[in-house]
Amino acid sequence: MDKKKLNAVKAISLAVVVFAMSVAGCLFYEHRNYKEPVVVSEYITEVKKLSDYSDVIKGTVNDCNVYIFDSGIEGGCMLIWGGTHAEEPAGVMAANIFTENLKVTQGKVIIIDRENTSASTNTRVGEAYPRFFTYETDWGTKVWRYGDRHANQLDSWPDPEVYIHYPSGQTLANVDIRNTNRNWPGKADGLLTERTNYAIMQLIDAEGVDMTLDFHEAELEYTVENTIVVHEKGNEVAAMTSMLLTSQTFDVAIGMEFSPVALHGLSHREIGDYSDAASYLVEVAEPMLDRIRGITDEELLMSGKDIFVIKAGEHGLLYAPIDEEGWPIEKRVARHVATATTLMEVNNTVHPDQTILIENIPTYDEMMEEGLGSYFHNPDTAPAERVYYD
Amino acid sequence: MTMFTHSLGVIIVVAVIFACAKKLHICTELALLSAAVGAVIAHLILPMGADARSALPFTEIVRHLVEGTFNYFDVCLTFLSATFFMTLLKESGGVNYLVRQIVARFYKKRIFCLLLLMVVMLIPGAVTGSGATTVLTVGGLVGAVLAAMGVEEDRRVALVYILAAMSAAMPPINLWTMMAAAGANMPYVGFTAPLAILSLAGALFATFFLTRGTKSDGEVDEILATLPEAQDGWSLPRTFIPFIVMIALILGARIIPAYWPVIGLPMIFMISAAFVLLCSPVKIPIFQTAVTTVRNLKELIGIMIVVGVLNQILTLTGARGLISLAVVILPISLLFATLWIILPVSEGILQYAVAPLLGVPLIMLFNMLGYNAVIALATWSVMWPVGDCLPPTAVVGRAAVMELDYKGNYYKGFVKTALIPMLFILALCTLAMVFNNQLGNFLGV
Amino acid sequence: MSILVCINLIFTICTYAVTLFFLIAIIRAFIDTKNIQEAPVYCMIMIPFILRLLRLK
Repeated sequence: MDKKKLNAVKAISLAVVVFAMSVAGCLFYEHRNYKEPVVVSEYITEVKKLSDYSDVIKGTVNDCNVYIFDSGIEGGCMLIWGGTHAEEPAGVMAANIFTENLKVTQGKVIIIDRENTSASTNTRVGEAYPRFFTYETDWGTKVWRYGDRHANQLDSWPDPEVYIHYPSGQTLANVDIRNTNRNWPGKADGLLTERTNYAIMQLIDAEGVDMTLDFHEAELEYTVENTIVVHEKGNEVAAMTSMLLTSQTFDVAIGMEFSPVALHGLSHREIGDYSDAASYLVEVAEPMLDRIRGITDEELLMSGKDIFVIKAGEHGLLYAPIDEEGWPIEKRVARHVATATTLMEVNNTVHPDQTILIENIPTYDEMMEEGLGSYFHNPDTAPAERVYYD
Repeated sequence: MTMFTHSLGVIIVVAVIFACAKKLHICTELALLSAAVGAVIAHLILPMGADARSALPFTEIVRHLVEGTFNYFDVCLTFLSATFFMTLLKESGGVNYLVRQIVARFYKKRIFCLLLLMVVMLIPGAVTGSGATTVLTVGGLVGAVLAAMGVEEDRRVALVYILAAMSAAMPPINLWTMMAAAGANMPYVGFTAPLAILSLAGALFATFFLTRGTKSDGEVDEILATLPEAQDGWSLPRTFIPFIVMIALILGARIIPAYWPVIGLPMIFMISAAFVLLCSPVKIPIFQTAVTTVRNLKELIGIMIVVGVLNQILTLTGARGLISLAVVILPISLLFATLWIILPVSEGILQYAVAPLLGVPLIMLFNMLGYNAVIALATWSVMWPVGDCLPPTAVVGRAAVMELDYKGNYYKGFVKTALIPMLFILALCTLAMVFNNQLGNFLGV
Repeated sequence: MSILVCINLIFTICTYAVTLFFLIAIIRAFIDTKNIQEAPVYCMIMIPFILRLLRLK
């Protein structure tokens, strides 16, 4: 009798676990294999793969699309990317707005929507993230993968017991070897993320990039918030951009911070040090990233409303203001887009030989008033040659 | 009902279900799992406050439960491989040989012997960041030598436990510091001195406090006669080779990182295990040893897996955020006065997950208040592992009890004996936290 | 593919092999257990091992 009971418990336990694994397995599979359609701007000149610049990344999930907008007229070259951290959606959406709408009339702009694609194929364990985030447009719902700060372990496993940054030798937490904003300037024979950054450094050299911009979001508890972090090569441009945006455009000021010399692996430090480009990184507030946040769901991710975070603000624990209106995605994306365009404009005045002139990108006010929907295009009705997948 | 009351309701449901399950003599792993499932149900039933919320389909609930099992998967694999390595060495008689050698050579040099044992205990945790790995690799060996030296059972387990906890806190690898620093975007720089001072002080105090009053006045031959015989064929080079391989694989990554492959701790231990098989004079049933390893570790790993699930659900429901918020909005004086309790207790509940949960907001808070965040985080990172013998997880405590085959009462025997060294470490860390700026200036961090 | 990338790949494959090795040991322990509460715990423990080996998570 006891043996029968034991066997019954074993059978039931196994059945429950197999059921749970099947359901979750299907969802994990769907998340990992979902492709994000991008309808590239009609003014695009070329779409390359990152492996065209270095074959160290060929055949991997991080061999991302490189969207090139070349006016053919001499000027500067700017590289912009989102998706370094796949848990920061404003970066990907802002990059998408450029990819889907940009027209360059002088100089060259290069966009990467997903700098670390692998990280977007897996949600961060323990953080209870949704798998996808969506935005309503006139033609329907646009869907993106929501992901992790680190590359998927299915693409990079195991981790070392400690991560020693190359080439500085600085010691970092072991999981940070899968964080692409901790292993610049990359390593040709390193792990996936190190090779990804190495390939982007080759791109920067090959295309003669003058300035780079890395889109990020940060928790409100974090000191580096609503700011441009800049390598010393770009101090002047970043300072003027910050002043212009704060005085004329944004309701919440955007600051400017110098890239710490002793903190290695970050894009704003290493790209400036290891290439001719001036490197910038921009941060905007994302309450979803705060450890003190409440219920975790897509609604919080997109609206940026959370009363726990507001409570922390009442106790003076935050570096960004927050009220019942939260930090909606429109505002976060609009700030990123406006920062990118203003950086270009200011750079044109400081370095006229690097002039980049662009059109067709919405202003901050337009995005705040109309929302973002009209700047994303329907992949089902767009000409097939303009639809790419990230 | 606001989100505050919602998340508070979820926490109450978790506590009630866990208590009821324990009352019904359900094991801790299943009690925690029931609490996690109960938390999801409470989350679905209780109103969530004024803000709009996304739908939570059944399939996504299942996904969250399954995803949570991955929280400590790498740690579990490390535990399994480390224990497998040491179990092979034990089964082959290598551990008995090493114990006999240490007793024969150092029994009469008591202080040297104790310091040697302390160093042996501190090394595995210092390089892996895991107290459980320390216990599972060298805990049994050190426990056997302590027994031979006449240290009574309660004190042996207590000492092995405290040294394991301090080994996890020791630099170069302190996982709590690394995880919290990574979450707060701080470089893992400047922590070596404060972590080393605090954990060494704790380890030294525990070593001499818990062995006080015992003497090495027996004859070495008599003591050796009481110890189990080692298999014929063992020699010092044979026993050391697997350890040398392990240390070489770990150090290689530090000495020439640019040219060294990423091996990962599980493989490092499995390669070392392979060298045990090569060096062993007797044949060992490999698969049977793996099954024994799994049986011995089932509680430890079961707890880690289920705590991962609970952590995921607490985050989903806002309960984790509420706990975190409650800690950081405490008045600063109260925070100084209570962190020595909050940190070990939270470690007992959530293990390493506590570092980003409490560590990151606390770093932000201390930064904002103008305190030295490096010193403060180092003090917390020595206090956290002290709680590794506390329920519900009690990972290192359980491992110590298991490895030393402890027969006494867990709380009235082992934990009670370890209490004074634990309080000493917590008091020392609290002092360091209070004088963080002065200590920071002194150490130049 | 450089030598270091190749060696890293070999260690990745070895880590999967270690996962499989311990999964089989867990299954053996599950089959052998006579304790009614241990059975569901072993089942829970199996989850990440299986999903990692199937390369789903």
